[in-house]
Amino acid sequence: MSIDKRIISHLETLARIELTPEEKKRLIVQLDRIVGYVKQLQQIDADALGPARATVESFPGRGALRRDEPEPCTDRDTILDQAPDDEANLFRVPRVIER
Amino acid sequence: MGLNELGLCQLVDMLKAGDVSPFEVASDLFAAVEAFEPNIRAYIEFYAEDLLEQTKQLSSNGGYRTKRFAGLPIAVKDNIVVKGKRTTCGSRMLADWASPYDATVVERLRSDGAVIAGKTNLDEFGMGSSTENSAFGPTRNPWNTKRVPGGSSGGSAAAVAAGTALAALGSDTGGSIRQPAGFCGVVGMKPSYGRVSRYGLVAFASSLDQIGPLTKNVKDCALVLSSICGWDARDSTSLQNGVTDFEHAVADPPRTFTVGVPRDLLTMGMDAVVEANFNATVELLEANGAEVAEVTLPHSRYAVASYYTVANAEASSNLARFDGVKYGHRTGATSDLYTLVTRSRDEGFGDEVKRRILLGTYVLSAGYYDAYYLQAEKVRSLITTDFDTAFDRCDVIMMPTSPTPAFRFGERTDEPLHMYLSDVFTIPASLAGLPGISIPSGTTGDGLPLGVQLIGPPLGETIVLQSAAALEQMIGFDGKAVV
Repeated sequence: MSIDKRIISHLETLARIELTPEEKKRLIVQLDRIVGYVKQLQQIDADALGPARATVESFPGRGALRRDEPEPCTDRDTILDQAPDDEANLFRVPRVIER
Repeated sequence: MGLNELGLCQLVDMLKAGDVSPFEVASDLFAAVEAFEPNIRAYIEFYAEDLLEQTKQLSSNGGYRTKRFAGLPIAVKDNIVVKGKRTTCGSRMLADWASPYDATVVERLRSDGAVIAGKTNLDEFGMGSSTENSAFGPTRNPWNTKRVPGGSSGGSAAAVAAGTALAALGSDTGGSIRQPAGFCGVVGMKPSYGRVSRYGLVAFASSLDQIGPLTKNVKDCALVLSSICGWDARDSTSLQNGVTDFEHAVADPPRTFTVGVPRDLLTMGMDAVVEANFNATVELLEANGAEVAEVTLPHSRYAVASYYTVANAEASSNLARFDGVKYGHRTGATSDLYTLVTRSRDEGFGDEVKRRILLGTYVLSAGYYDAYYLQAEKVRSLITTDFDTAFDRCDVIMMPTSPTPAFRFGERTDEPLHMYLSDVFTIPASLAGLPGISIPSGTTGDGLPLGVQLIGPPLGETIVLQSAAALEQMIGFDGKAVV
């Protein structure tokens, strides 16, 4: 078994997702089955493969960069308009520093 | 018959000749939406008012006639942003989020004289193969409403099949354009990685995502691709490649071409009806003078395992941006930042998205990275190399689009792995960044459409479209959804 209670709790923390107890129970079973399936990749002799290469690096026309010139971007008000909560040109969140 | 049932190219000719006006086309489309949409639910939002008003304005002077799309409406998948409109990605997380800018593909469609018709339904953030993962309810297959339309671009495929869109854009990460196109009896193309700008496409897996057209026929597909392709300074992965005219290439196909058939991959298992249809298609090609060559793709049998490692790793990173602070869903009152983030994410994301984020986090985490993620990337290289070798022997590679026709609702929702395996034939080209198209190849005994997929070498869109147009003519598919 690859996925158990301890690992799922660790993943919750890493991924910043709080799961309900029912979700956790279901996900342990489902993720374990998926990990069991993708594990078949490990049957392939990795040393014989050499380093992985980026698939598209060799495509013609790759790596064309734009000129390094400043351009106007979305203004602050428009960006802050998207926020669930903002104040004085800043995103507002619960206090993170103790007084 | 309404004008909405005609193909894009045919309508462009009629509009340019002044036989019909953009408003007349839009009115017929709107009538079809009113008639069929309650049953199909292909759209998250249809811009009825905008569409009628804009096409009325266009129709008042003839300026539209010089443009590529001559005032025709085109729908886009709801993970592609349109300024001032909601882009939900089929997620509660973005249920009320409106974009402050247009995607490059939207800009290009508009400057070519298209009017954006609305936003089509999808599996949440593109994660799924049936549109059952949309927070706004599933789309139904216009051929049989008890069946899924495929996914994740299921709304786009269903709308084109039902005649409620003349053409639509989708996005394809592991088959999300081609698989629903096959399930709904329409044409769907995933271009080469880098061919079309992703600026304004909400990211799922950045080394795989690509925008492409869903249309009624191959010629229409070439028309849309010609509009949306090309280098974009705002997408660093976009390629600077001269070819942008696929329309005329399709009209002038090569006399003969060689089709590679990877028999080794086809042993992976498929429905008998799919296998029979595929073999009949191979025979049809031979009977019409195309060369058929045996090729092998020995590592593509590991493609699904490689894909669900790589794509989910990238998804876990891309979706880290949804934190309840900058935009999107935020949970109710909490006193600390950590809970605000973790709870907002639990409430905002659906089951499949959470599964994939957690799986992606697992394969990237300390102690597992080499064994899972790195190994999957190495296998991806092998899959790509197999394609390189195979293309020494053929112009395009053909396989079924999916191992089964459209399945029933709920049939695979409890078993994610079973759902993932429906992408077994579309994923290899995705991992290798290759262009692939699905075209209708027949129907099953009980009237469900089937599709075949043609895959080309890197930036081989021209030969893919040309051979697809030739095969389309040989097949002479005249099936129609029965909404």
